Amino acid sequence: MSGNIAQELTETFASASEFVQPPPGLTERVRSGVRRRRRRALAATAIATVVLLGAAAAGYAAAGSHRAAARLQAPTARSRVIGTVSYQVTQLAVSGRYLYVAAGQNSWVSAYDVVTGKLIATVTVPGEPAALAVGPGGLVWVGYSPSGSAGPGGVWLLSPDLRQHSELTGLSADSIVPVSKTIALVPSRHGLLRVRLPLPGQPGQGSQHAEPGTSLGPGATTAPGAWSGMLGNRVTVQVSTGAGDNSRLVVAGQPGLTYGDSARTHINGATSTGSAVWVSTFAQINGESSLQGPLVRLNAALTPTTPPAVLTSPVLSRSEDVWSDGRTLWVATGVLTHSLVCLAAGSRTGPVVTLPGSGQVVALAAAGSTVYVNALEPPGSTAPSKIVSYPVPAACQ
Amino acid sequence: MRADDDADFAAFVAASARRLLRSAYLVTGDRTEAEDLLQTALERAYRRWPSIRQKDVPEAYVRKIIVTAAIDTARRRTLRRAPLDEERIPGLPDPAVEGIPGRAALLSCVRELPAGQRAVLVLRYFDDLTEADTARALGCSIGTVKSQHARAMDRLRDLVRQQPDGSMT
Repeated sequence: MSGNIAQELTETFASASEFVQPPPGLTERVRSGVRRRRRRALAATAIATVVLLGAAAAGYAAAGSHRAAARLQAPTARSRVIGTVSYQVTQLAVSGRYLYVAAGQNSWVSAYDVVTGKLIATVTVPGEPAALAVGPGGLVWVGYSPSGSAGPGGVWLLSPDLRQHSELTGLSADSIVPVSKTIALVPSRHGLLRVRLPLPGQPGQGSQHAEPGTSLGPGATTAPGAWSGMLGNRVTVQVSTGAGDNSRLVVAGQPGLTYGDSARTHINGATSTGSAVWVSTFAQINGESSLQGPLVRLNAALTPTTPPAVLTSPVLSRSEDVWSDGRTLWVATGVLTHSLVCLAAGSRTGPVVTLPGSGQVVALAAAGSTVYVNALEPPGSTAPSKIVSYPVPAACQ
Repeated sequence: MRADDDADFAAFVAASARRLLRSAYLVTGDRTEAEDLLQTALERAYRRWPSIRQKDVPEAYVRKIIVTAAIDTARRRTLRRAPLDEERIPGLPDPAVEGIPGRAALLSCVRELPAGQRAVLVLRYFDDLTEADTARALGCSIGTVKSQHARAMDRLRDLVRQQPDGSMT
């Protein structure tokens, strides 16, 4: 060997790395990573600007129906810290006494008691949790992405306390729409999959079948964190179009009904209030994305029906993400002094109420009269972040 | 990003990701770390892709980010590096060197080298780069590449001689 160590090295390196394969969906992971970092950079830039200019100079004159609530830089006495986490929270969900926290990079899902703030359980799923949803019976659905080190993606169905689960592997579940205790619809490139799992802890095999008549149209793919939800009695899905930040909404089974994917209407976030979908949009100008833009309401045909009060709100014109529990709409905005606002989902006139607290809202879940928020403070921070609960303002209910 | 730029980037990832990942794995000895390095490097490339695709050689650009980051990480690390052949992922096929005593032993010798020297060997003998291209990838002079290469080979020969049977095959 020593006579030709170079040749031996060439052959050894080739054979030693032969088994290495890139993780599935690498390009989309890269795009998602760039989007996340861009959002954080935007938020960090915003707060740096305010520090330089001074809080007074950043005073915001609310217009129209916008009504800023008493604004505090720290959680108020009416807020409560549920937990402090040192990892990056990717999604929150709440049901009954449990608040569920998904930590994408750590492949963790945790359950907190919303009354005591006690951490009940943490489970490690086989890949990054891309979807987190609570379905009938308080059962928790988690979809995880394929992982190069852990094999294909899949779905877990967990008991409310996360202590038992059933699972199905071999599918990439970027979003999940539970329809019964044991059945959920999962978007895929060929349409919706009907995923059936045994109840957590019960024997049996999971299964998946293509749901007839639910095509998402040619070339449609989903991506981790993409949204899907019910719009009337149809499922609406945010699909990627394979071109950077571009994505559009599609009604499953009616691929002709779409919204988005034009230069001025890219989709940041979406949520359903049952009969309407609300979308935070952004524009691309000369190839650059602002990642802030108008909040838009769509009807069952995905046609914009945005109320004038929303259209004219200077805060809502800079929306970054949107959530809803069906009754209240929550909007993260790029306006530093109104980083999280709410309005009644059925309202045509507002008002829009600003919540206390600052920072970049990265995850939110609401149920009943309480909303749970995880925000990075200061924006873009990698320091441990708090999950804080706030009472829902009466004007937003 | 324009649609044609994005499509071009996707095509680049499809064509180059495996080669870059294998290279990263050989330098780091850790598959998870290699995947992280690759994704981070690709994100940096993606952000300025229109410029890179016009002015630079994209694969060289990404490889440079990966290799320099891997060396920096190794230098900062105080814990003992896990050996290459202990990094197999359960459920996946073992590296092909398993069962070939000479290659397994040679790998164990390579992992004893400092990260910078290991990177030179990977770039020269896996990526098949010239000395000039290796220097560009490492951000150093050709003279440094020559000296690092010579030291690595000397050290490797010493380590090989110290193997139980004194031979790799």
